[in-house]
Amino acid sequence: MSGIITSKNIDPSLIHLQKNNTKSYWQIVWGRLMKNKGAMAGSFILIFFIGAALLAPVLAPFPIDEMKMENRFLPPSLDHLLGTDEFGRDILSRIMHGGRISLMMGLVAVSIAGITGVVLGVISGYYRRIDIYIMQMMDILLAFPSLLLAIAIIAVLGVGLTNAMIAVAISVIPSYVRVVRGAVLSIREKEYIEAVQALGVSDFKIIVKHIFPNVLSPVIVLSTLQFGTSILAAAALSFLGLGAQPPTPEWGAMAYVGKSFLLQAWWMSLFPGLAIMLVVLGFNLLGDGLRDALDPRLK
Amino acid sequence: MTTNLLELLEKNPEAVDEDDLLVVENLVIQFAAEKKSHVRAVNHVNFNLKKRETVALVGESGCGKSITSLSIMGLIPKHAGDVLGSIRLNNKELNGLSPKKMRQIRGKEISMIFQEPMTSLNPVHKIGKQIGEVIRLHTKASKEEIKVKTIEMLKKVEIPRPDKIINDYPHQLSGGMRQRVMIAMAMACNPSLLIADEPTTALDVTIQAQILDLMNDLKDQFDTTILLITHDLGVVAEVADRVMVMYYGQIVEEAEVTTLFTQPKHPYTLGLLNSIPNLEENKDRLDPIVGNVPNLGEITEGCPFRFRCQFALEKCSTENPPLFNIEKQKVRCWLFEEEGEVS
Amino acid sequence: MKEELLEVSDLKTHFPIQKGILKRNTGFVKAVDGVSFKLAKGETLGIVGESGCGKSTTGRSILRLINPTSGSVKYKGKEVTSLSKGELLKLRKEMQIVFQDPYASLNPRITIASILEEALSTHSIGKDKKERREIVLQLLERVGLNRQLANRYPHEFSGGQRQRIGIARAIAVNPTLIIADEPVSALDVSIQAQILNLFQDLQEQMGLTYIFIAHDLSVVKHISDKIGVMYLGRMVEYASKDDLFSNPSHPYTQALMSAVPVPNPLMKKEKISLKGDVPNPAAPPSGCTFHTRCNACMEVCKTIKPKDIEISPGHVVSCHLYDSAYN
Repeated sequence: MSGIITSKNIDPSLIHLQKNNTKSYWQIVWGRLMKNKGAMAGSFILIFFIGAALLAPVLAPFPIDEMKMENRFLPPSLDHLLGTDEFGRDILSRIMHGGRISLMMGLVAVSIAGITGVVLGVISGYYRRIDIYIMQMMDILLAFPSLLLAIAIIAVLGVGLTNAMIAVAISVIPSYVRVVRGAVLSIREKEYIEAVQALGVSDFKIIVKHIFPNVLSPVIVLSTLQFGTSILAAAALSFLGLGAQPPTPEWGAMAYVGKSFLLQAWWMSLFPGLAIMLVVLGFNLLGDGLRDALDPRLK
Repeated sequence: MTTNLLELLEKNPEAVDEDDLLVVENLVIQFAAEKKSHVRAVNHVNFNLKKRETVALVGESGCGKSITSLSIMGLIPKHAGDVLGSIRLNNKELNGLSPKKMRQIRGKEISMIFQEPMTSLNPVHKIGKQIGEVIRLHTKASKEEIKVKTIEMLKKVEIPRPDKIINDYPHQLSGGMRQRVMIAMAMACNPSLLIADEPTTALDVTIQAQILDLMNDLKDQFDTTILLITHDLGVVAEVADRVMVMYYGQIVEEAEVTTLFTQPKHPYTLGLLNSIPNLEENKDRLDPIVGNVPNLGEITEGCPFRFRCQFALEKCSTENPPLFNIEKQKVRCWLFEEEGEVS
Repeated sequence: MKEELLEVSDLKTHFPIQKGILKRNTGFVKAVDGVSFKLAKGETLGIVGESGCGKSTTGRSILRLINPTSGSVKYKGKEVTSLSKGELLKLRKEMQIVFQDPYASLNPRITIASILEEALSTHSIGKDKKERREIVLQLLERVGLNRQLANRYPHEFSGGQRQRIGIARAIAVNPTLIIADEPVSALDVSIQAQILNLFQDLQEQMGLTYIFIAHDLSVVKHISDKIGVMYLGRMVEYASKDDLFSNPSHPYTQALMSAVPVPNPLMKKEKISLKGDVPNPAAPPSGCTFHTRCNACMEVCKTIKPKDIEISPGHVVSCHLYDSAYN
């Protein structure tokens, strides 16, 4: 009875695999993201705002600092779509230009926090001996409410746009370290890491080639969400008078100025506030979509 | 060999004349796939379980054996997949019963134990409470009676110091102990059918031996029918009376356990038996089945095993064979077209 | 006389148990607690035991994926436990490992070609990219995979095929010794046999030496020349396959053998049932660690650790039953 079925090395059922459908991980993710309605809506909002900010010098109907006292407190009209402020400056133009500052603040804060956080997180997760020190530092930072921490940092560094960015970045770092460290911890237990260790691949290469790509997806999701949060925090600092200073057309600062004229010119605060809200919403929608698309359960 | 088998059958006549406990007819389980098509995980499965019988359902991953058992338990939610065909327990149709009615049957008339007892026990409740809950759901016993019954059940599954264990949490027990607790829960309401889905796969061999012994003992004590789902032919040989082999959602062979192991007919069964190293004999090389286990939906026509079958005929690529009866054995293979008759 | 390739003596790997915020050591899990054996080139040693017996840790300690606590591992006469980082890289080319889980052991983000390529480039095998690519394709064919599949990602393969890729990675650096840690236990029955045959073919073609770790006694018996039975960090019996099966001597080995279900319903063998569960390795029983479950337990077993006793040439048992001092 035995010995009827002979063994062969070549695997005949590979014929089934011949369909050419090789897709890399990122292609699969992209396909999923395109199907996500929320993410698409978020991307649309963001493309709109980023486009408006980038093209502000070309598209903005008025210069941002052109003061015309006769045009003070004009309500939204065909001439001034979003109205004018207390110096007669066009709010639409200022919001378009302000977008450059707000988005830049978000970008800088997220970049600083992201790079520092990823480096610290990878070190913390991969080299367990240093872990405890880094994490205790992060725990101290996390113990403060983030806005309060930012205010404290500004108190040390001084008021201003750059310092606000740094302050926001520092307050965001711990969330990166935690996320990255967690991801590294779970990945370094995977057998494929052990396999490359057994091959003698150096730690640096293991981190760059095998660990980092796997950390990337939570970092992308976090960055998208943090982008919104940072813009909001930066705007909040400016609103408190700690960040961008008038006459810089920063959204938070604009809303702050408008606050004094809320009863006579509601548009002065409303539109910058709306811009902040929409951008943050856009980032959150995209971030949620990315989180679903990058779901590690996808094999 | 044949005479040997006949003798065995004569010694065991009750297996023939007993009433059927569970009858499964034309069971089809399908799941929605891309582009409004369906993937069939189980494809026209027919079988019956007689009272006090242990029947093994054998197959590799994805063959549909676990899904079959879940459908008997009524555990496939409507939105997940369609269950078509008839599942009758004591002549009562189960397929299509409302979730509420099914809940009354589950645990009382049919119960189930799973491969990984840790995931089927709730980690935040004490052992005693979890067993008691099953008893409370299906009987009108008082608190005191439930406690007595719980301890009695733990004694029946040979757990030492049951009065202490009832106050333990699942994580405080070892894997073997947890599986005993699961069995105690499953048997608490004296079900007529126990479905055991890979009950010993996660356990060490020495513990596996204990659990298999225990299941055999309890079966006699409680007059239970057991449907054992497993991939381990050694376990099958040790505990089953009858065996059904599944491949790609179909039963490809069904026979009494001795017949199956001494005269396997389907090339797949034969291949499986040749694939396993055996403690009792020495082989220099194994004779594996070539190729891989196909994914669901991959094969649409003909005999699904033909790609891995070295006896494949031309006919096999166009027509899926029916089950042929050869005496008391059933084989789904064209090789036996002459010999057998279509059931 | 065959060339002795590996000699492990009294290998111990203990993991500290840390508690509290100060991470104070409150004790040790003695995962491997005194394992010794010798292995000649071209042989296969099977290590069998139940979960938590330390068989995987033994394998990883030999490879220095985990640093052993004490004891010696001599590979070609050279001590492995004290190698420096640079010397360790040379060892990596000699010893490789195949893992249990073919799903977790391949990085899902990179193609199988680059998984194999990495093994080659780490050890500077192949002059340039082109040559390495050719070696990769040959490797794939060698393990029974089509070379056209080289640019696929792991998720496009079945469990058996992934395990073949794992094996290809291990043989890529042309090693002498391969430690296979439960390489077939996650696979379907029909696939297991294919992989076992592949291991045997490669051994024949490349003259490989294997340490084959498994919980399945029938698999270990099929592939091994020598077998070590482990229980709670100790090798309780070590012998050639024929000796072990014709004369299983340790009560644990006997029980383990009888517990394995045999796929033959006509053969009902006498079972030796073991009481209870494997004890917690963090708090192992005193004396002989097996005494709590042993059917032949004597008074002395409860207090004194048994010595390794050679009951016939090459057949070592760690049990007081064979110690003339107690009988």
